[in-house]
Amino acid sequence: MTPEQIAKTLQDKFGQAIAEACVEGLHPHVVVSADRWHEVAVFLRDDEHMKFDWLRAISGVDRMEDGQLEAVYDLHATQPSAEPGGLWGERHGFAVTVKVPRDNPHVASVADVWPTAEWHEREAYDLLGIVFDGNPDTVTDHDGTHPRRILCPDDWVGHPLRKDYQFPEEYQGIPGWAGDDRPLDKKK
Amino acid sequence: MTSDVLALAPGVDHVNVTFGVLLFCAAGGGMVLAILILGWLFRPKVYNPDKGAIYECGEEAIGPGQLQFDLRFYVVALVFIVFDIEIALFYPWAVVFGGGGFEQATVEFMQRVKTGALYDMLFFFGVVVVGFLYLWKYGYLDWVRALGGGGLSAADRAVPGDARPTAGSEAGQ
Amino acid sequence: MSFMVNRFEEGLMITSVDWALNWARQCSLWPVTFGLACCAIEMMATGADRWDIDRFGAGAYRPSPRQSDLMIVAGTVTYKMASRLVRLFNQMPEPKWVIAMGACTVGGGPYYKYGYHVVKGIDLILPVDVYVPGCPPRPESLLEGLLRLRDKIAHNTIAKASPSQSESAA
Repeated sequence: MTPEQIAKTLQDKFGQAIAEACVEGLHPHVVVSADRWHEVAVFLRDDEHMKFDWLRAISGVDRMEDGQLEAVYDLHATQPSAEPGGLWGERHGFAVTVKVPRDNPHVASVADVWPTAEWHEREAYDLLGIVFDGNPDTVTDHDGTHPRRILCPDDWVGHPLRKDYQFPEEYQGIPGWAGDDRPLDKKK
Repeated sequence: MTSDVLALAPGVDHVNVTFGVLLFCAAGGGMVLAILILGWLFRPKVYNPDKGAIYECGEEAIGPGQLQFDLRFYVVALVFIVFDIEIALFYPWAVVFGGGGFEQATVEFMQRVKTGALYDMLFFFGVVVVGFLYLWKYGYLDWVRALGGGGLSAADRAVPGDARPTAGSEAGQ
Repeated sequence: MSFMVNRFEEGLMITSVDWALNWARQCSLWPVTFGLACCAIEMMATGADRWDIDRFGAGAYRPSPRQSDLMIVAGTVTYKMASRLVRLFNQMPEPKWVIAMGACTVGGGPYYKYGYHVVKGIDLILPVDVYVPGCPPRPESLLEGLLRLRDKIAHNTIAKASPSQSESAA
């Protein structure tokens, strides 16, 4: 199916949940609202015309100008779908974007739909702060209930890839800088 | 059968030999002791609580270091000990049975030895074989226990399997 | 400290003992394998046949810190790794030395400006004896660092420090 057909099928089925469809360009995607994202995910995986069985990556984006955090899901179908687009059938790829507000960044976890999502969601939480509710590897600590961090140490403070991240002054007694001069000015 | 127990070279007597062996052992032990004492005199002694901690590649050790070994290894070792000693006891019998160790092995002497010795050894071997058959029949020689009789459940095995359940159904298959 | 160290003033016997001890210690520096990143590859090359660190006696890499007396920290040290590094250093028995290999261990290296996760030089957490700069340093540089360390060990002494001396006993 072409990206336009995929976007149209989604819009016909889910209506208001599909906020917008951007099918032009190199990265055709639709924007899905966070509250119905899990339904859309199951449909994308199970529908016989879609059959997106491979979640390639979850990428987090910090849209500071809109005050939003964005999770981009890159999907791919490894088997040809029921509607072949030629002699060998077409294996299509598509992307879905979910935008959440910065002060309440909660998205439903799709780790039960695509198992690889577990680690990708942990990384998106660790580096950007998007909280995925329902991730199998969830812990509760001073930051609330969130997926366990995967790259930074468990007691790290902050989410490093946010655009307003302040570098730590020290961690567990080790100074953050070798000398007195900070080579990096504080970001606004 | 009148040969000496130990024939030494001319000029050497037993006292010399014993003294030589003892001197050798003392010299060896003395060298080791000297090196240890020199080390004790010159090495630095700095105490650090981490030095007494269990080594776990830099992490803090979780849990004790001892696991219970699989009991099948114990059974294997025990069976080995018993049958190894049996084989060790075969050797002198076999030497005598073959005629070795006698200066003059006459034919009629050997015939007398052989009949008696054969029945003796068959009796000994028979007793040990009965034990072996018992082990075999009751399954103590099987490494993998047959299902439905005395096997360990997955929860009790010494090697833990993957405890986490697979997440969700297969996607797309 | 031990019985003989720091007990006698300098003299012929002490300097001979010093010479023997230092010779033994510098010619058998056994490193603990602590290759963390790219510098580890250069350290492995140094241990291989062309640059052969074993001809200096330092080719017996020990898997356990308890059997080694040299820690060549080869690679970037992150904050997550720092606590393990310090614990392993504490588990090494004296006398022990540290070579900081590579720009990341010397002062943060290429991660100095934007690396939020990198310790800016391991001398913030460990006492370093020799710094070997480079990104990564060639095997010849690491061998030069090892030879400098041997020279440093050659100056150790177990004699009692007299008040006029500024050097203290090893």
